[in-house]
Amino acid sequence: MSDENRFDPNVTRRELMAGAVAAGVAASVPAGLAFADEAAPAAVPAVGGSAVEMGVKLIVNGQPHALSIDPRATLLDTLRETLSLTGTKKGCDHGQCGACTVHVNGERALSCLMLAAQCEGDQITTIEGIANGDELHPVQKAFIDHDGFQCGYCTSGQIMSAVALIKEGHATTEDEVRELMSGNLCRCGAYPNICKAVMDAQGKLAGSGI
Amino acid sequence: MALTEAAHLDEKGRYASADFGGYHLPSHADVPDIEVEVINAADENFGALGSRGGVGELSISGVAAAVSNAVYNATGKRIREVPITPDKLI
Repeated sequence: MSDENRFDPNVTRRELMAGAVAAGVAASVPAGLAFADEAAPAAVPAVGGSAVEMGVKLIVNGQPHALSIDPRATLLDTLRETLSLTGTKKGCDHGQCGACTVHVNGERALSCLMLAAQCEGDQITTIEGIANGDELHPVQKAFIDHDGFQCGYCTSGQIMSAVALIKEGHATTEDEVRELMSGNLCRCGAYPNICKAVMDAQGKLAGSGI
Repeated sequence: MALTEAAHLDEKGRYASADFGGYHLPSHADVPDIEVEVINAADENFGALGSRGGVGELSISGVAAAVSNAVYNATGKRIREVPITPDKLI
């Protein structure tokens, strides 16, 4: 084995996968469709490679992106793999666990069940976009204060659901929170503390207009 | 484990409850307030550190048995297989 092929412990799993895929794509797939928009930053090539690509404009956390994507790409994969916004988690990829919850035009959506191509021009908010600079969103702060997680895998989805729930004015009683947050599964069973965190954040946010 | 989660196999040995649609985890609405009580006493028979080992795994083992006891108390039926679903009581 030559030196350059040897295992490099400094390469992350993600870089290795992206490198291997890029090598495969370069060998087999023609260049994607050109997509240009003066208002948007440079087009980001789709990860994974596809014989057919399409242009789509997404506004993610206020930032416009002109992407060239596989028409079959879900919003979740586009966020994670193409835009490297890995805060949104892929749990079941079936719409059953809620880990991939994001906001599309302010409403909760399961990003694993949406195609990115459906979201042309839509405002998408992910967990990366709810803090105000270094200042955590009150719901994020409440999750830390109340220890609202154990492993943390469901947390970004729980927080995105909770933010929307509070904004809709629904999180007024614990029973309401429990009922309306039931689409977000937590395998560790941190539900009681999540519930307390949401109630606490609701108390602080009520009427503040955030 | 005690009430909802059953890994069903089909006749060919494949999992029939292979996703969260078939393998039911408790959700927010299923879980009431939980009170944690710490037993503040060393148990040196169990280990040199005086703790009862483990963090979550050991403490969760007793829950299915406790739920089973509660079902026995309520119905008079002793169910020895989890999950304890209504069909086992009929």
